[in-house]
Amino acid sequence: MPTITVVPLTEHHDFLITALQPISHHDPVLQDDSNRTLFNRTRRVVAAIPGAFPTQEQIDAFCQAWPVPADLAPVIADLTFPEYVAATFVQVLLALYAGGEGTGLLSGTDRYVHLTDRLCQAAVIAQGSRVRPLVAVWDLLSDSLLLPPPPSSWDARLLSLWSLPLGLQYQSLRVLQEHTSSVVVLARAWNEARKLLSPAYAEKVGQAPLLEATIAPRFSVTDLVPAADERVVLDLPTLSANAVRNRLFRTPLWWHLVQTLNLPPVPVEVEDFFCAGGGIKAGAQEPGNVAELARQIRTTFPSVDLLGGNIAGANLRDSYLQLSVHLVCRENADVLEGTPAADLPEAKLSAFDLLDTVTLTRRGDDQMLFTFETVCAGTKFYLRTDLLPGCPELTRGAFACAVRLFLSDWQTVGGQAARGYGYIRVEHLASPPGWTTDLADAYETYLRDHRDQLVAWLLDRTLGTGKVVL
Amino acid sequence: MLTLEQIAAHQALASFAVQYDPAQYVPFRVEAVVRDRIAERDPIHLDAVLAWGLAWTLFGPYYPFTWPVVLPLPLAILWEDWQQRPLYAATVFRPVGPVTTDIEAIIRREAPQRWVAQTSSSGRFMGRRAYIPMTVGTRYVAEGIGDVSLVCELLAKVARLGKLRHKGPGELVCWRVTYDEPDVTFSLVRDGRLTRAVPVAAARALGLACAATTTRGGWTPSPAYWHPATWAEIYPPGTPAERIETDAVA
Repeated sequence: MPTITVVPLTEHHDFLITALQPISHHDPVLQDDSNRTLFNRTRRVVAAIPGAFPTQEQIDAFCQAWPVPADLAPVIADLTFPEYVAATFVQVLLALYAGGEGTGLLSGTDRYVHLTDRLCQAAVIAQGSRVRPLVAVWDLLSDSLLLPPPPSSWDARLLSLWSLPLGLQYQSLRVLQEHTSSVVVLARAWNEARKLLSPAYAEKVGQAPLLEATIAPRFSVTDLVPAADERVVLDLPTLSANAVRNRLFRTPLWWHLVQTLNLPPVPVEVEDFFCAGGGIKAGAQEPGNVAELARQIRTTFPSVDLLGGNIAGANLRDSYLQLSVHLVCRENADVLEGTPAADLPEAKLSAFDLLDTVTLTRRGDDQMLFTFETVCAGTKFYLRTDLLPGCPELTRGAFACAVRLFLSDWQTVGGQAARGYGYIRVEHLASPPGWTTDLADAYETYLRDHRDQLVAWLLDRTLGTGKVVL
Repeated sequence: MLTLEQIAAHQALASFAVQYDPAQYVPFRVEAVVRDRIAERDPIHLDAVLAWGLAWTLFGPYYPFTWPVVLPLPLAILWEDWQQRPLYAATVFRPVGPVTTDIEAIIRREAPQRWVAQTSSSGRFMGRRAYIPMTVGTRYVAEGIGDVSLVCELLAKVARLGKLRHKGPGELVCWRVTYDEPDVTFSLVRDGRLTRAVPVAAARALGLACAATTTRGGWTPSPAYWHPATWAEIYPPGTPAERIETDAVA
């Protein structure tokens, strides 16, 4: 077959980031109100985790053991069996702990908010647990919702729930991860309907009792069996490439500029531009000659050429530096394939073995516990950088300068650096032939030779364009 | 009025297009092998990727035009509008193999002096979070009709696919371009759905019967980046459609 393989014409470098201290780097997508924060995660499609699935007899026995009120039967009939198991799991929790005044955090008017937040977190964390997923979720929820052990009369029923075949448990775990809110709503409705089967309870709450008995739903085993090449989706811990870009390149190059130029205090817009990339001002119009302005700014300040940015009215277009970061772990084996990081010993570890949980207190009017996940010291990340074709020499020099800076000293990434989190060391794994950090010398010489002019252009916010652009 | 740089840019575009020879155009398939994911808000068209490669080849990061300019690509032209803007024979990239979706958030930073002042009651940095939809998968395929060697030349300039190219997603391991095979074909309709954005007027001219789900959107890569001036009433990719009229290729 005539196939041409085209490899992008970039100058690429491979680096290895090693955590010297635990890294605290949280997931901004999870916007719950709890005092527990997960490590930043990203999805990956990996080979299915092997595990048995129930027989038709086991499915029927489960349905007989956990019948649903007749009113809910039509809703349950539309579910898949893993969804039914997930709803059963949550309903059991509510039946045990949410009755009356409730128990632990499953009390008060916010009980379902607490449950939804904690359940979502527990389901994500349980993915990497060494125990069965539903057991892990139960344990994590018991801990985070401050629940006491269940009464012994429930032991046999709980054990039957926890001992479901592993393949089914992972499918149900996925339901708990992705459909937490709807599962909680269904379980709540189920629990309420179950209670209304009791005439005494119905009279107490002033509602008509449900007269119909419970019904065992029916599910077919044929809907469960996965295909031979079944894949599953995992939420893996990850370090944001955007954060790494800022901590290893943008911020160090800004401070290098400050030191090399012996820069006096500059307008905040200038620091914003160099330190954070700036932003287009609301209502600002794009200049007609934006390409020429971009050329002047980027050739005057090679670090801007490397990293890009926004002036008041325009984006300066694609920067020359592109990068990506991957956790070195077993689950990322196919991602790391062909890279220098693929053969590292850490590539045999599971991502979930690298996670740790830290609990601290903070003081306000009173003390409060807060808990967050970290990746442990020793965790490694593979960093790949690409310089796009046509990258000018001085821009390559700015890149080399940043590399020289972050190779020579520890850096931090993520949050809570003031508490000692996030210290990292960076090693250079591979570089193009002939590449050397001596390229940085030309960049530094350029800065020193043009020091007075560059400082003036920073202070007047023109950046060498002749007009105020920040 | 054109600047000297813009005149030179027009000449550069024309000079590059001199190499194009429609007699050499063949159906081809492009497979993008990415490291793990791409960020995309809209489907990514192959012709838009090639236009980016052309713009980078000729102008680097200094694309000189701020108004719509036709970027000539080594692709067959299926139709042109009244301004001679071309509808190229190129589909959107579609994922193949195991795939899922994700939402990631990046935090747009501000200057350190402003951090305290700009925190909001809805969470630290909440106001500066940007949510980006991701497609998690390693292989994406598109088809087209064009000059394979020139297509490869342009693809070699593209190292990342999709949005947030500088911040992780879309890292390309390689491109694989396949041609001259019986199963490599281009069609505007595949499995009863449009394979690319098609203007309503073009659909009529090309003999396509599409479901009446139109929207205003981009359909031609001029310029290489987003520009509402090039928008038209289109049938977006994935619109149910019938009748394949590949004979209409100009």
